[in-house]
Amino acid sequence: MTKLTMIIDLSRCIGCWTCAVGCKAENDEPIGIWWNRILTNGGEEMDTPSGTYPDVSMSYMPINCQHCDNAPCVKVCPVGALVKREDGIVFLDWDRCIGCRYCLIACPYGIPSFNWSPPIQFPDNSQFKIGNPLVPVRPVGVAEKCTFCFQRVDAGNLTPACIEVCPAGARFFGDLDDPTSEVSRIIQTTPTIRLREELGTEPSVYYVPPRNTARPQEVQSD
Amino acid sequence: MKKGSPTNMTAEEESVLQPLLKTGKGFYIFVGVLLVLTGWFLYCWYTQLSQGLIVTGMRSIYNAPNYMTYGVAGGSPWGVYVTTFIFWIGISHAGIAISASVRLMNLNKYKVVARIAEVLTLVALPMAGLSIVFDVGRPDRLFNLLEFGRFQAPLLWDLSAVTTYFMATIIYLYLSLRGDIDKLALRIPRREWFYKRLAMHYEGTETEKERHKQTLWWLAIAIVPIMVTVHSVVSFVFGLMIARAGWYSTIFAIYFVVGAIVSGVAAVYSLAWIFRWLYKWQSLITDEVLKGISWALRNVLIIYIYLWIAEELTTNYMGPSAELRVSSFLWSGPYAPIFWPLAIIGFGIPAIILLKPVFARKAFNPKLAFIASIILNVALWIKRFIIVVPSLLNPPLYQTGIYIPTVTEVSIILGTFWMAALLYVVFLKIFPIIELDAVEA
Repeated sequence: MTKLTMIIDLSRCIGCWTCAVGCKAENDEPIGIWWNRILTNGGEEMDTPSGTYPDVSMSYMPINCQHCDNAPCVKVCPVGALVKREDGIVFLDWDRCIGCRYCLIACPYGIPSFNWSPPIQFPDNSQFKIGNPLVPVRPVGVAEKCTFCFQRVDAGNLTPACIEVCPAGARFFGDLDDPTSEVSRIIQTTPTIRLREELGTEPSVYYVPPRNTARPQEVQSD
Repeated sequence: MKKGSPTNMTAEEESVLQPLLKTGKGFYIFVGVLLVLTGWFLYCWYTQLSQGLIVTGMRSIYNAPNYMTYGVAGGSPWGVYVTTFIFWIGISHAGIAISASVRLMNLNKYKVVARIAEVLTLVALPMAGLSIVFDVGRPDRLFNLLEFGRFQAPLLWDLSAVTTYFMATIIYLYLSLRGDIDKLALRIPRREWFYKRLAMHYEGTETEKERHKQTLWWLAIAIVPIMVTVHSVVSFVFGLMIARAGWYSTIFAIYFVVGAIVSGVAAVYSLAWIFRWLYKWQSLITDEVLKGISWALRNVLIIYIYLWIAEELTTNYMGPSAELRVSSFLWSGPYAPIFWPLAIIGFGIPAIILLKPVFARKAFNPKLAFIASIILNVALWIKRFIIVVPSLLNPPLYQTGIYIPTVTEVSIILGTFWMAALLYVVFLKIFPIIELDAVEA
């Protein structure tokens, strides 16, 4: 058995969005849709720290599909377009999706995006093809989301685009059932958390929590 | 007597059949206006089908409208279409509810409004179905629901419950109508060919009448649980979503069923009052009958307000942060200008109007209760809106989103109302809206 797992080391993440852009290029995501997003913890806007000066800290939370073992989206999909594959990938069949958007509603992580209009690629897809040709083009009116780069996994390449491009080495990917894999080693040696674990969704994405980056309290001088 | 003119009618029958016999100028103007509005609706729907759901105000939870802004401008993936779906299912609810309870509990006094209610169900259910067709991104793939449908998805429960309910309603209405159709064939000779075929060799013998009565009684028994199921599964679409604050609660099924009965009974009251005023049916639909309906409306309304208060208290007392976020969004946030007028004008005033006859000696006023029933119908649509949208605009992990329905979107949902009115009017012109038996008795 394979259990594909992703680990994101938040203490290494620098919030550069390279994973999001790499993902967008690989999977040919149209304008307005990001399978990978990097949220800024606590800040009001992107790249703004949380807290009030001088007690401020800044950290990022990259979010992509959590590929839950007990996935709410798979449960609610009325046509079985969303399936949990044997290797742990939650896959969305774009040819079967009827566009009811129930997966957008059910997902506790707000992951699936919807093609509200016919997809617009930039640069124009007809003149300059940038996406991986193995990824089908999604039509208007269907949902889409991260697939753990199923096209690479199926070809035996266990390096999704976001892992390949991450300049900080913050992302790891592999088979958790294989005790020699890198992800198994990290999970055994490092404390990890999973997002909204209390909901019982059993996500396949683990986060290594950030080290305390807050500035030490300055001594009051009176 | 001239051939083709109505024959052999008692005075009561003539009164009941007047919508079939006389067609005034007002009718043509009304239908004309409805047709124009339906045309506009069709144009808007065409726009949506050709351009995609981008023409609506709905957006993904995390959505970047263009490449200049990052994904902070989230939206609501479901909007007024789903709201209207719940609304129509709610309207359909009371139709058969009233009719079945009249039959099961022998409330013969209310038999005059039974068919008004049944037809309302029949008209409302296709509109509910259409609202879902508007909502999905790929209406061309809807048959996937039949081919690949999975019964663990609440949407499929909806599909099965609603279609079952619709079929049961059609059979129920036809059986209760069959005797009347047979009579009409005699009364209106110029349409004899049509009514004769539709009655399908109905003889009108005593055994046949008795058999119809029996079948209808059993159908009524079967319909009551279907009716409760239909609205419960609509609530399960929302109430089972663990990730959504404001939805995830056990009260939802009861809450929706009661809400549906409120809106359905209110709609039946409004229609009964309108027909009574339009066709001068004061002697048929008496004050006594209207008072009885308003009494039922008042009782279910009080239960609904009680459930609402219980829900608000549960979400606010200990206040889990996600729940508090949604409820403060309603109580003091951007939706407060909807929430408070809804609570005070939409539910408070009808409750006062309907409760007044209990305390004051003054007799029941049908007109005031009519106003209350209209307010309640509008209020219940808005109530469904503030159930659906605020929970979606406050997703965990993300910032609060914005949802503003577009003109196209609103035109499309209004289209369901025009079409419902058209279907109702067509029925009114072909079949008697009051059971002929009820009048003769």
